[in-house]
Amino acid sequence: MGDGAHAKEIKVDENSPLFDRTGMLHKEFPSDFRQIRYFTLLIVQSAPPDIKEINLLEQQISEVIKNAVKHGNGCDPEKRIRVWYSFSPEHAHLVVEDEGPGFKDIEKWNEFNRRRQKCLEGEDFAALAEYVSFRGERADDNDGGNALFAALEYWNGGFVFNQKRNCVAMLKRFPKKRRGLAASGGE
Amino acid sequence: MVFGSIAGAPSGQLLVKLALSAVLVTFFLFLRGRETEGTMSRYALLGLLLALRDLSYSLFPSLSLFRASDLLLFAALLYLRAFPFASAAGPARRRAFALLIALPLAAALLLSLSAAFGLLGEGARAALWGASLLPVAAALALEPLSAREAPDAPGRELCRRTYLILGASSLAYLGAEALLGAASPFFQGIAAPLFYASILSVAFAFVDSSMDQLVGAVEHYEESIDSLYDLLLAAGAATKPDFSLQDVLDNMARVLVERTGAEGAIVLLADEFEEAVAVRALHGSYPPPFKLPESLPRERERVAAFVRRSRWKLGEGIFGEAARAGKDIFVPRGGEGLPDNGDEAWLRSGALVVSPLAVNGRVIGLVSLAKAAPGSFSERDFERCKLLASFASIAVADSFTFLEAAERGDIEREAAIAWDVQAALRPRRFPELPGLELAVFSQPARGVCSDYYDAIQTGPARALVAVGDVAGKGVAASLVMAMIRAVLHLVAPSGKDAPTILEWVNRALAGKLELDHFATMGIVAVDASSGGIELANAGHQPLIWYRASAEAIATVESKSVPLGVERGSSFPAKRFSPGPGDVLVMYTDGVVEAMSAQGKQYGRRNLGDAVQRSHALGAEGIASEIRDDLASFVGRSRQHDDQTVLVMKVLRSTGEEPTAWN
Repeated sequence: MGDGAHAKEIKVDENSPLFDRTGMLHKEFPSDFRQIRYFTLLIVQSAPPDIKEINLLEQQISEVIKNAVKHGNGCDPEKRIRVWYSFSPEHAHLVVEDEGPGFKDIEKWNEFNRRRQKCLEGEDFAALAEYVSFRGERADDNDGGNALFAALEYWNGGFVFNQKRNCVAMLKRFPKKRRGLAASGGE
Repeated sequence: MVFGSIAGAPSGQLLVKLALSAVLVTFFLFLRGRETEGTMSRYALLGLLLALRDLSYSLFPSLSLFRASDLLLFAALLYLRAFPFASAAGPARRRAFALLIALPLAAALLLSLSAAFGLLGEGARAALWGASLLPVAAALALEPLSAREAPDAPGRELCRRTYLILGASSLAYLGAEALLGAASPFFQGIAAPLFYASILSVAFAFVDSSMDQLVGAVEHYEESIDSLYDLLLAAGAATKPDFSLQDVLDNMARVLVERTGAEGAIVLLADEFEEAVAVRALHGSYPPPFKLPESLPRERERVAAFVRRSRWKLGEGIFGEAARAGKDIFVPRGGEGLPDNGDEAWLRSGALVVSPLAVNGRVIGLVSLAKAAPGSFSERDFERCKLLASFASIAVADSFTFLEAAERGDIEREAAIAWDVQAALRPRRFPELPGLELAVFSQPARGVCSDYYDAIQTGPARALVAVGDVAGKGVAASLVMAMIRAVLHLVAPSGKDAPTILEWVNRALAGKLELDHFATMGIVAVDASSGGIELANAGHQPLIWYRASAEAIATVESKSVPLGVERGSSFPAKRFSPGPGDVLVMYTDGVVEAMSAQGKQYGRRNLGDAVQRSHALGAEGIASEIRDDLASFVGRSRQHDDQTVLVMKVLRSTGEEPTAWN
């Protein structure tokens, strides 16, 4: 049976290079839940057309803004969401900052994910039922709790919170398309 | 003295034989340049040997020496004809033939010594001669058998063509010599020259064989050209409007089968992201040269479906290895080393060819031909496959280029359509209002085209000025823009106030469309008769107001959500009256968020400063100043959003026609 050691983790690292916002585009939004799709579109419209799975990128960006608006700022219209972003055919880099108290349950979530991964690796589907979704203190019935599992998988270049845990930086590296394989010419 | 004896009284027989030897040497030397194995050169040496032998005999007419030279001659003939087969048949056979050649050579030496020193009697010498010819005769008699054992031996065809004539002439020559004696005029005048002439048959056979090879090669190349034509025609699907790479690969697999006699063919392509090759097309019955899962039912359709889904990492299995090395694989028959996938005849691996599709040193895929056992492929099939693969490489690479160009073309085309729609939606000219100048600059970002501006005359001294920014880009954004413009032009003349106009536009936009339909928009209702301005704002940037009386920049903001968020949204108004010399500036996100090379945003402060610096100019001048300032700020940095600035300048009265603003 697996020990869940292969489970990806949400990192907390104030000094992560992912927080370097140099050269990134920047927008600020009010914490209006109704406008999340609109905010997402505004950000994604600067992505180059070469990025093929643009809908998946939109979905992931929407989720992270939704988290900031809802769980970070508690949908308080006086609180702002700040987003820094840059895109190229090879990467998507996003930093999202809210004015909330920070995601306090990171360790709990990581532990939850580790146990969930352990069940998956061990094919213990009976126990897995207990790890279908993570419910933090600020969650409500509309939170499936699965967005972060998907986010960790999607943002393959890292998913890192700052020390205050109200700012999250993430990086997606898109695989580089190439034509053909370099033949070694060996026997 | 020797020369004198030859030149002085040469016999007619000697002259005939020398002339024939000379012809032999000349012919074979002439043909030497037309082959690479050196056989013709060796036959030329044989002709020389004959000439030397006859000259020697004319000087020293010794029967034993003549017989010794016979042994030498036939040992040489044996070496020329049988030795290549022996070499091809292996080292043991080679040693045996070497011995067969050594025996007559040793006997020739013994005969020469006995002639010189009178060691043996005439009868013994004749017996030795006859006995020494036996191994030579045996080896030559067994030549057809050797030819069958070593079908690929060099010179086999030449031996086959001359076997009968040389065999018969040798028998006649030796028979005449044995019966009549070497000194017999018949032997020297008829039998020996005829034998010499028969050696010429080797030269004729060589020419004949070369002609056959040439004709065969021409036929082969004609067939190859036909097959290449078929292949390129198949790949030419790229020129059809409904081109698909799959069609090209399917057609390629079909042509490979039809033109090589294979029972089945597959085409594999290298993965775009991983170091792997995957089957992309299959034609015919292709016995897989890899192990099928035991659980897979041995039914043709199931196996074909499995093959079509198969992929290998680089270096993995026969195909992964061929892709890694970029080398051809040829299993002509027998299927040795290929897996046993079942008893079904169509599954038994027989012959296999794998050839890489390579362009500029990169393997872009593989083609593979197969036949079920006991089928086989010839070298020509293999060469044909390699030839077709080399052209298929170009066809596949061209298809990739075509697809990429088409993809780029689609992107460019969409950008061009969006650009055209955006341009078509812009007003041709602004309405003329007393005491107010309007000017604009709008710079679309490549592929975005989401900014919109308009100015609609709603009365003799009234107009509705709008600046908007649709969320999204391209054709989708331009569709939303077209909707906004249509509704705006429909409701603007209604005389309703700015908030109501925005509410109506929002209601039209916020329907259940299968399209993202969000936009920010600021509209300014201008009444030049009263000097009043009414601003309503749907999530848009605040209006910048340069107040000439205070010589200061102010912003007018009216907070609300963008258009399209909620059907029931309301948009509160701000009303104010600018004074003479005042400047009002509406703009989009792309202006204040424009990025410099240092990663800084242009911002509202820089925009305000540019307005303040240029406030004394007319509307066109102010717009131009802002454009230049923005361009200077961003430098050569690529901009990600459209940039639109609309300037309204309240003119100072000249005294002749006072306006409401003065």
